[in-house]
Amino acid sequence: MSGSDRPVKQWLPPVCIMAMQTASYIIFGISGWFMPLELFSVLLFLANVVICRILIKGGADNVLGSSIMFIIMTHALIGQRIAPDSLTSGSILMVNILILYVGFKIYENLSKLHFMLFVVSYGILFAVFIIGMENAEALFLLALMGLAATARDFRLLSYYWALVVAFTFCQPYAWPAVICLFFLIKILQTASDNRASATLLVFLASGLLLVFFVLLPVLILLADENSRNIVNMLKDADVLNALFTTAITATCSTLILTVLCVPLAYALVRSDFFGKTFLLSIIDLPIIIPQSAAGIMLLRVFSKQQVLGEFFFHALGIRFDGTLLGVILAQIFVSMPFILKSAMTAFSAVPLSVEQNARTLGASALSTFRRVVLPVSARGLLTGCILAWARAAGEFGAVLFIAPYPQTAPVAVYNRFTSVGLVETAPLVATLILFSVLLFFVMQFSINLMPKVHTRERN
Amino acid sequence: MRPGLRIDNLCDKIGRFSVGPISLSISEGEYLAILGPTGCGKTSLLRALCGLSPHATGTVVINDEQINGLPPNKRRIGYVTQLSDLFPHMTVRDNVEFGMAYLSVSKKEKADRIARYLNLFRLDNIAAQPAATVSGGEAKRTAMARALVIEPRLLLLDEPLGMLDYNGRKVMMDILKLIHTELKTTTIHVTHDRYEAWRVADTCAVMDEGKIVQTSSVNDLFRTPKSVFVADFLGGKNIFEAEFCGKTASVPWGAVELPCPVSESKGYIVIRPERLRISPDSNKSLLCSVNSKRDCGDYIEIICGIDRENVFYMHAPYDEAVNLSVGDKISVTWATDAVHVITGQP
Repeated sequence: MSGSDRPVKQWLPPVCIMAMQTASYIIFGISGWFMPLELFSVLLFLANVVICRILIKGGADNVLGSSIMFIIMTHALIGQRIAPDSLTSGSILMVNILILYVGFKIYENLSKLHFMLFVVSYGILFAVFIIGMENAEALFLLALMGLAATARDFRLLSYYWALVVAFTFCQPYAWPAVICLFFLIKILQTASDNRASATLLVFLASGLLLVFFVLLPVLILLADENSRNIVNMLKDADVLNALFTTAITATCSTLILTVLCVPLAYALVRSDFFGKTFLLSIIDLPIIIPQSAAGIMLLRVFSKQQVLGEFFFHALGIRFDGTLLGVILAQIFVSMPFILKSAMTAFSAVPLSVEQNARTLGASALSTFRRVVLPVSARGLLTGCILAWARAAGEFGAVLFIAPYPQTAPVAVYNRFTSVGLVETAPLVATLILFSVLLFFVMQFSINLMPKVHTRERN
Repeated sequence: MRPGLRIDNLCDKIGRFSVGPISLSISEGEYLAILGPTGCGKTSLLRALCGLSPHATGTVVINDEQINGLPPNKRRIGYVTQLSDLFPHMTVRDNVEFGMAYLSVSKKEKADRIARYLNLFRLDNIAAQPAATVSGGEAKRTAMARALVIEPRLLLLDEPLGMLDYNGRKVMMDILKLIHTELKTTTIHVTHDRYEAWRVADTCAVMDEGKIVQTSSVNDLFRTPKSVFVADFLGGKNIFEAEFCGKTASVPWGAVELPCPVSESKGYIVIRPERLRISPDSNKSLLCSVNSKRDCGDYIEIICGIDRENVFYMHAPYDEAVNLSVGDKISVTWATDAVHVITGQP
């Protein structure tokens, strides 16, 4: 420690502090700002006398001892002003002495950066809990003890700060925030263990903050809702019907899309024809058209009063407005680009020469498609189907206009919100989210069941 | 020998690039190497042969059956592509087994054949591995086993040794030779490496700009190239414009004695660099100076200046040339029959 190589008169610092403390007691006591004869102050004075004696006799580390004396003096002088009672004051004093000791240990054993972080952390905690909040001494103490326990390790320290930030700034959603922040920290730490560059870490951190911010409402909603509400929802016939309708229509539209659009995507990838570029660009149109506009458009063409709708109704007995068929029609309209695009991406990843090899080995074009192209692109195709299903199940705007009844889950949410209000709709939404999350996991699992196309490790 | 493959006026057009007309015939069981620089249309020819090129025209006859116009799966032509192109979702064994599904042979025969070919191509150890995880050489052997197990009428190999290292190439060439003697499949082997062609092929065709410029045995191709392009492509670096008069040719740097009289008046002479010798006796030789010297391992390449414009490339044995240094005067000589005459167009 710095004191050991430079000969300082051992008795000088403690005696100086004693003198300062005595002087302050007298001056502040006379001025009335401070009560020197209060039990707590007297005790602190006596404690300093004892430590001073020990230091003069050379019984303890001089620098550490002097620092403790200084802290005791400071607390004796201003503790009465900060804390409401001597118990709190005493606790803060004890914890501060602990912090001082930990600080010394960090300074001795760990890097300068650790020490700096420790000091800055203390400063921030002081600013937040003592200056920024009223009556937060107990929290301050808790935070300080946490800091003392975690300061030796950067990782522990980052988790600690995540906790502090979540519980001070993210109330009443502290727990969802803690989950997100812990997850983020774990991601960054493992990425840095795997030698991600600083640039990558910054990219990850900034992007993931937004991602978690957007996903936080999901966690909050689920955390707020108790399970009884959700069970009640599942007993509600309307809700069950809506869920059932959604599942049936989304599955139907995905099936139709898969049967017709997956082969189309293959043909688009593998053939060249007049107007291909144009065709590829208008495929995206349903993504660009606002959903409500799409709904009106479909209604304008397919409702029973319109020419085409009338034709379907009279010639085939089919009507679209207000039927399951209408729901499916709207869903197909909005999900088609998703399945087409992902299927095309999946197919273009299959090398043409691999297909041609299959052809020279005797496989017909259809057989090649079945035995080579489909298995190699299976994961991509399934991802496309899942996307299309999800898009279809979640479609609201277009469905609302052409077929508000039989109501699908998104329409049911809207109807409930407009008839009974926000608070009553929340359990339904929580139920829907729960279902979506479950389905999501089931689907991800099913993707992993698809044949895995191994690739060689390349550096 | 029955005619195995006959090609008449095969033409193909891929974008701005056109191939042909190509006419070629190979007897059954023959091993033909097609040599040519990159971009001369070798791969396009193979693709046209196995039916992968939609715009190819011309007649292709295999074993007296006309196959042009048939889709690729009806042609029974084995095609091993440059990148092997294994089916990535299958194991090595499944890859080899793929084409068997389209043959009408008994189950037992199928299993036997697959086992035999896996063994022939030394794939037993890796048969159960996913195809995408095997090394380049293993992938190439798998691709060949896959193409040969259906017992094709014709085997097309596109740069089969392209991505292998020196030892891998040697092993592969031995396997190719062995398999050809065993199976006697008519084979077309496309390459740009003349030594590869020399080692594996019976006959060799040289292609340039979409056309076949010469077909002959490999040795003939080296000794008696028909055109300057062939001579140059096969490494006959000493090519000089010449005017002939009976048994002598006058070249820019003097006169050269020819092995036999030539009736044409103008043409070229070629002397291969390995046939030039450093002679101790300066009477029958040409005095040159060493312009540069490069140790190539097998031999030492010396560029000797004959005069200001003309140089000889000489591949000299190590012992003869190791002590030479740039600027030395040497006497260069060659046998009379080392001089090859090319008449007609370059």
